[in-house]
Amino acid sequence: MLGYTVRRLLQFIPILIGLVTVLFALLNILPGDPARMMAGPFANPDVVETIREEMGFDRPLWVQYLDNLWDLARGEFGRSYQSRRPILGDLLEVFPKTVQLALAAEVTSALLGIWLGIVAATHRNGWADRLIMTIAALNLSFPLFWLALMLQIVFAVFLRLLPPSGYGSGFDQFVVLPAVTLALPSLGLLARITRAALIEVLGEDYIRTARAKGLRGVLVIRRHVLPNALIPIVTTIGTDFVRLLGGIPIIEVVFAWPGIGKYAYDALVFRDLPALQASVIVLAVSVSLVNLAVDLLYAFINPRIRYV
Amino acid sequence: MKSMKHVTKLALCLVLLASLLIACVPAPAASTESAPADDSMTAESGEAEGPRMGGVVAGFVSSDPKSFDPAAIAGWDQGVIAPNLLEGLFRLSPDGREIEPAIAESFEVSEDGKTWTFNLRAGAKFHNGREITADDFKYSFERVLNPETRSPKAWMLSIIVGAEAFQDGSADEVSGIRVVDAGTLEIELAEPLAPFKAMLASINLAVVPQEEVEKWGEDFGQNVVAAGPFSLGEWNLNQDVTLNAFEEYWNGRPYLDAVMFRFIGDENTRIVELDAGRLDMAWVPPAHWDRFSTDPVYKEKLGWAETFHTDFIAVNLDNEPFGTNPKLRQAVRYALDLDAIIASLQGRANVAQGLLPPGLLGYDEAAVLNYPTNLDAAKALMAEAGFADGVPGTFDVILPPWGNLIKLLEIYQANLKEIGINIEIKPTEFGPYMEALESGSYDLAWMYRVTDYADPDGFYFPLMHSDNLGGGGNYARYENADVDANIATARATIDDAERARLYQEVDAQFAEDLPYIPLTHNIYVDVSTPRVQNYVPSPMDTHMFHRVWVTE
Repeated sequence: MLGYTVRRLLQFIPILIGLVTVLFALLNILPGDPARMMAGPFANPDVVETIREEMGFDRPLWVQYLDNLWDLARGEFGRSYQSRRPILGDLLEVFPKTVQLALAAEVTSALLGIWLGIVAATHRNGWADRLIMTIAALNLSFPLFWLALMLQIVFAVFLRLLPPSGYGSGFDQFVVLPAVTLALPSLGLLARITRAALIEVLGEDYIRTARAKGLRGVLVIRRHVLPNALIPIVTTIGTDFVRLLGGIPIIEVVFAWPGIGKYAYDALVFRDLPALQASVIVLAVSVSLVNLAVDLLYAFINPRIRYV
Repeated sequence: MKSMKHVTKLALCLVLLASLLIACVPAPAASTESAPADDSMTAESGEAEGPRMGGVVAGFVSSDPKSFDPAAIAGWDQGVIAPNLLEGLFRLSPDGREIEPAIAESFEVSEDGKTWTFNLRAGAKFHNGREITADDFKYSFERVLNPETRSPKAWMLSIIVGAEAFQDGSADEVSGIRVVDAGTLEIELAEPLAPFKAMLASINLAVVPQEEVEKWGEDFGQNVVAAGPFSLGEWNLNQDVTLNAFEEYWNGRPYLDAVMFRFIGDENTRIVELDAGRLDMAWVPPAHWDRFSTDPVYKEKLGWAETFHTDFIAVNLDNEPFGTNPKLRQAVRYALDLDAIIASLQGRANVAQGLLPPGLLGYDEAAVLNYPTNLDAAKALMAEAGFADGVPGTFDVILPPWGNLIKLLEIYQANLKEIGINIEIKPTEFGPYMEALESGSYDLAWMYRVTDYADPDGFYFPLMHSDNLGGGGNYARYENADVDANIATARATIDDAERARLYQEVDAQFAEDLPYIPLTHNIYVDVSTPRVQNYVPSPMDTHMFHRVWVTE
C-alpha cells in the first residue's frame, strides 16, 4: 500500500512536467501579449517594448521555458504580473476557499443523492422512483449559470433568505447558493448511480437470505446492501469532487466566490501567465491527489482489493 | 398504498430538510455591510435635506485591482477606485470634467511656458498623518521615471529637463524637478506643454510618502499610503476592498465613513445584488435597460457619463482606394446610419461629429463636421470619387474580438453595401490587431480612443500628429504640415482660448480629410440605490466618492 502510494506520487512528476510544457506552449500560442496588457490599451510601442525587456519576454522561448521549469522545480511560482507579488501567497488564500465550496457542494450532493437513490431503489418502479428519476434527468440538463441565476432570483431577491453572492467565513449562508447550484447536477447523477448499484445488490442471494432470516428492511439496506454497492458510489463522488475542484470558475465568477477559479479566470483575462500557470498546477495536483485518495479508499471499502 | 405512504414520508423529509437548511442559515446579514453605520451625526443639525455624515456605500468593480501603486496603475478596475485614494498636484472634479487644484494650491507658468512653479497647500497630509512637502513630489515623480519601477506611464514625465539622463543612469536625480522650499516645487520642461496640467491630474502622478514606499517595499501596492480623501482599509483578496474616510483630508473628510468595492465580474450578479439590497450601484447591462429606465424609482437614480471616448474607423491612408481618396471616406461617413447604431445601443451613445468628445476644450458644436446620414449625398460622392458603380472587391475591417462589437459592425456593413462598398468583419486578437495598426498592414480598422488625460491633446497629438506616425498612435498615417503646426502650437500654448481656436482649425481640416471616420461616443450608465446621494459617474471612468452621502 505504501509502495503503491509512493509510486503513484512519483508519477506526478512526469505528469506535471508534461502539463507545464503543454501550458507553456498554449499560453505562448494563445494570442494576447502580456506586455501589452500591462501597458494598457493603445500604449506606445516603446512602452510595450520596455516592459517586454524588463519582464524578460524578449528572451528566446526555450530560455523562458527552461527558466520557468527551473523556478517551478524549486517551488517558485513566480510573481503575478498584476500585483507584482509572489503568487504562492495568493494561492494559499484563494485555494482553501475553493475547497470549502467544493466540499459543501459534495457533501450536499452525496447526502441527498445517496438518500434519493436508496428511496428510488427500494421503491423500484413505484412513483417515488419515477419522480426522483425524472428530476434527476431534468436537473442534469440545466445549464449551470442559468440555474445559478434562478436560485439567486428566487432565494435572494424574492424570498430574501440568502445573500445572492459573495463570501462570508466559509461554511455560512454565503456558501448555500453556489454549493446547491454545483450539487444539483451531480446529485441527479449520484441518485441514478446509487439506484443502479443498489438494485444490482438487492437481487443477490445473500439479500434474500438476510430478509428470510427476518432482518428489518432498513437494516438490510444499511448492513448488507450499501457496503456492497459502495464502490460505484465512491467512484462517482470522487470524480465528481474532481469536477468541482477543477470545473467551477464560472460558478465562482457568477457567485463572486473568491476562490482559485475566479482567480485563474481573472489571470486569464489579464494574461497574467504566472498566476494562471500556478493556479492550473495547484488544481492539477489536487485532482491527482483526490484520484489517488479514491483509489486508496477502495481498499478500505472492499478488502478484496489490494494494492502492491 | 404502501408506496403512497413512502411518498408522503419522502415529501415530509424533503420539507424537513429544506426547513433545516433554511433554519441553519441566518437571514442575510444586510446590516453588516450595506446599512448605514450609525446615525450619530447629521451634518447640519436640523436640515433634513443636507448631506449627512456617516454610512457606507457598497460599489463594485469587475475584478480585484491587485495594486494601487500609482506607478503601476493601468487597468480599468484600478482606475475606478484609485482617485479616491490617490492625489497629486491636481485632481479631476467630482464629475470628472474639470481639472481642479489639489495639493497644489496655486501654480504659475513662466513666460516661455517651460518653468512651472507650484505652491503646495499648507496642511495637506498623507494618510499616515505626515505633512506633504515638495520633496515628496520630487521623490514620487523620480520614482515613476525610474526604470526599475517599470511604470507604464513614465512617458508623462519624460518631457521634464533631465528625465532622460536620470533614466539612463547618467544622473542620480532629475535636474528639472527642483525643491525651492518645503512648500514650493519647480518643474522645468524641455519644451512648453499645455496638457502637462491635465497629466499632473492623472492618478499615475499621485504623491506617495517615501518612508511608506520603503517600509512596504514590494507590497506597497497592496498597502498604499497616499493623500486622497479616503485611505486604504481592509482588502480581502479576490473579494472586496474597503476605503475609509480620511479625517485629515485637506478639503474636509468625506461624508461617508467608508466605501466598499466588491469584486463582481458577472453583470447579472450585480443586478441581483442591487435588488437584494446588498449593493448600492451597478452598471446597467443592456438586458436590464428597459426595466431601470422605466422604473419610477430607479429611473431617477440612473447615472450618466458621456465619456471621453470615441469610436471610429481608422483608414490606412497609404492604401488604395480608401486611403487615397477623401471623397470615398466622406461617402462612407454619409452612408453610415449612426442613428440606428445609437438606437441599437439603447440611446447609450452619442453620434461622434469628430474625434473630440463634447466637454473637452476646443469642442465646438457649430464648428465640427456635420455629415448626417444621407444616402444620396453618399452616392453623389461615390460618383465624384470615380466609383459610381461601387468599389470593386471586399475590404477587411479589423477589430478586437469583442462580441458586442460585431453586431454593430454588421449594421455598418449593411449600410455600406447600399452604396456599393463591401466590407468583411475580421475580429482579430488584440496583439495581432495592434501589430497590424502599428505596422500599417490593414485597410480599415475599427478602433477607439480614450484620452489618458482630460485634454484634446490626448486625441489629436497621438492620432493626427506626424511625429506619431504608425506605432505612436497615428495609425492612419496622416500627415499635414498645417495640422502638425496647429497641434504643436496648441501643445505649447498656455492660453485656453487660443488653444481652443487652434483645435477648431484642426477640426476643420479633419472634417475635410477624414483620416478617421468618427462613429460614436460612449455613454456610461449605471444605477444606484435611492439612498445614495450626489453620486455622478465620470467620463474618465473615475468614480469619486468624496462628496457622496447616503440617507438613512
